[in-house]
Amino acid sequence: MPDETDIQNLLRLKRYEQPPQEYFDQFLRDFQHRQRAEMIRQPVWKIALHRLQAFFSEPVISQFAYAGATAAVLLVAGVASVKIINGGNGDAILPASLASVNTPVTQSIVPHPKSMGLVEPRIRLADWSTIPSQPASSGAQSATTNPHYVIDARPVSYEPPSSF
Amino acid sequence: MPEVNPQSEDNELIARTQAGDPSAFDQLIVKYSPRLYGLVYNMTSNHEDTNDLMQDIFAKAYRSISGFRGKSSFYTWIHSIGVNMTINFLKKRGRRFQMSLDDIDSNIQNDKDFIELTARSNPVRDADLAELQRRLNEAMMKLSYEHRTVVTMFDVQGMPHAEISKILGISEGTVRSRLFYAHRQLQSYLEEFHKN
Repeated sequence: MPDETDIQNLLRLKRYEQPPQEYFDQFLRDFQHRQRAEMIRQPVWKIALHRLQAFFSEPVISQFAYAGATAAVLLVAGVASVKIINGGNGDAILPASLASVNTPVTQSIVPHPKSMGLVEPRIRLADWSTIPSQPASSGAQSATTNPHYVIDARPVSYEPPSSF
Repeated sequence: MPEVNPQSEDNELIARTQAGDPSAFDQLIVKYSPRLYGLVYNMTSNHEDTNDLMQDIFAKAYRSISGFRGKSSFYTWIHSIGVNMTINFLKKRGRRFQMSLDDIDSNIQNDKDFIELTARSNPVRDADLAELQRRLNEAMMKLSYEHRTVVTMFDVQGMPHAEISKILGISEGTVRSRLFYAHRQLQSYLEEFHKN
């Protein structure tokens, strides 16, 4: 029966069961490759988190200062150009649709004739009540009616089919 | 030339790794992978399993190194990770193992223990080295994981009892008793080989 020293000597031989140095060089390369592969395989949220952390780890005050200054300059330039274009009276050139956002529909559709320098329109929305429910039976009657709802013409549908 | 304290050198590499320098961890791998390989390989007796386990061990160490506070040396810490992961692997693998007789390093021919052992007038002198290693590996694989671990660390790797107790988290007395029991078992397993 081998004594304990024999056993220990035999076991000591096992320490020589080592691969060559090339193995350990390759092992390190494999480890580095695997590390990079693991980084690529990270979920999207983790990559986004890392990028966010990297962004806020840098000095961002100057970036925000640039953005704020640019926005302020654009705002001032915008206000100044509107005033210059309006010549001090912005209301005069505002389109009717913008100027009368809160006004009744009848007024917005029919602007004041004098302010627009136009002749009085023949049709007003307020005059819809005067429109007869049936078409005029004769041209003379329609001509005497003021204002007209059909301008100088009769509806085609009322002309007799044999008129041509 | 001033002597560099390996402990402080490790601490510097660890600090650099914690600061985000992966090349510092590469240096730790270069330094500790041969010893760790010996530990894992003598517990698994399989090179492929050892290679996979080594990758996992260093990957886990790299992920966990931010929490390393230096309460123990890096050597103790990485060996603790290695032993725990290898024992878990062995428990999952079961009792399947492969012999390592093809991988005996040629340096063994120059080892004084080998020369002494083969020169003595006993049956070992006439034995084929491969057969000797095969028998030894068989005997090692018959040990429990815990006994095989202490035998590997003490007899194969030459670690002191105190270091083994730190790595395994057991008392030095337990290390000694496990060693004693393991040696007795190995003696009985190899008895038949000596008789032949």
